[in-house]
Amino acid sequence: MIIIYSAVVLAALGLISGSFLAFAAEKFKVKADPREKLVEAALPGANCGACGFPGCSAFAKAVVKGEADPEGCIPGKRTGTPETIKKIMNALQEKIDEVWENSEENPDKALELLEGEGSSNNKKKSKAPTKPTKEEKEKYESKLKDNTKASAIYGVLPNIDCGLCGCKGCAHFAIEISKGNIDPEKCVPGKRQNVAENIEKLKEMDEKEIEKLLEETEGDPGEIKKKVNDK
Amino acid sequence: MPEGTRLFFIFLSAMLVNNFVLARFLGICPFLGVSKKVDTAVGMSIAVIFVMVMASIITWILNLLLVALSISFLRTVVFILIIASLVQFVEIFLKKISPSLYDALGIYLPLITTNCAILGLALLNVQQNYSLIETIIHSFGAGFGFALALIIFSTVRERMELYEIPESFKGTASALVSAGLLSMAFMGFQGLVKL
Repeated sequence: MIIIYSAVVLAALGLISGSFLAFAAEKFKVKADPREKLVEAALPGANCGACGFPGCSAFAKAVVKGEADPEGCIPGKRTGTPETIKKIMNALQEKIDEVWENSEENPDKALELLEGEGSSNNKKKSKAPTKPTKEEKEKYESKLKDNTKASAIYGVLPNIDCGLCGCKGCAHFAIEISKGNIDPEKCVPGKRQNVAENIEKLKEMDEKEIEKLLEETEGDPGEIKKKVNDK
Repeated sequence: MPEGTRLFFIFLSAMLVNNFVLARFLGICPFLGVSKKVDTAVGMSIAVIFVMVMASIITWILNLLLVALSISFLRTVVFILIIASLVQFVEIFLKKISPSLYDALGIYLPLITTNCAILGLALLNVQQNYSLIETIIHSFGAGFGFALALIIFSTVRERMELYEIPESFKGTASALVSAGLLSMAFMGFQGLVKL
């Protein structure tokens, strides 16, 4: 008898609390704002942190709440991201819900639908920059050793390997600059850190000065940044 | 002793004399984990008071059933089941109502499930043969006692952040020392109420 009672009581309790929880989960469901997803899809997705938020999704949340300016996305400025974001923010709630449903809750598709509706000035939807793979990065990082100038330049770069400049990582970018093949202004996340100016300073220095700098700092990027900034 | 006085003494005893954290040493995990900031300590306290009161009412009623079927050996299992589902409910509810509090409490919210203070309270209510009204008063007392200890402790820890502490005492070490001092202070309530 005791065994049957125990089994029945426990099973009944489990069933009751289970169904209560299922009911509560449905009733207090948290609906994600489709606008947030759309803004996130419009961002470059480099998670560079130049906007001051921890990653693109945090920035998207802040933009939707009105706590951040769409212009704050520095890597996206060139590719028209702020305009796209403004368009999303200005769209009516019904419109957002409609494209959200039509795209089966796929943010990229919804964004395309929304863009297609508007004027044609935003045709070229920017593609997210491709982050370099680890092998590519390491290949160029190992090449840095024989190139003192590039090593110094590498020191003043943000070292986040975002790939926005079109190179395979910061080491590749540094080598290309030292050869004069690419404009230092192309480093988008570095704009706030005076990267272009620092590179100019490095270019003016001669071989010996650069070697001395590297020796003093032991090639540590943080130390190099400090030294060059102080000059 | 008149009924009203007795209830008041039960409340006072659970809150101060037999404080769950500082005298019975139950629920130390959230006591140390969520006491870094006053805001989260207040949120945690409210969640614990709610779970404590709801859990003891439900477990008290269920205990009648268990006793009637003479399967009271299942007490612990049944009580844990009830507490776990209540905590789940609080979690779902908080996520909807106050996402910032939900984020701040983090892992400590689901950890109320395994908070021995709550299971201890439910078992104590049954052991002391409390009536339903006594159970409710007792669990309010226990909940407020937990809140009192947690909030006092969090203010102490916030102040401690400002002082220069020897390297080896930083963080948990100094927190445990001050928790011990706080516990000694609460020992002063011993003998305030005799039930």
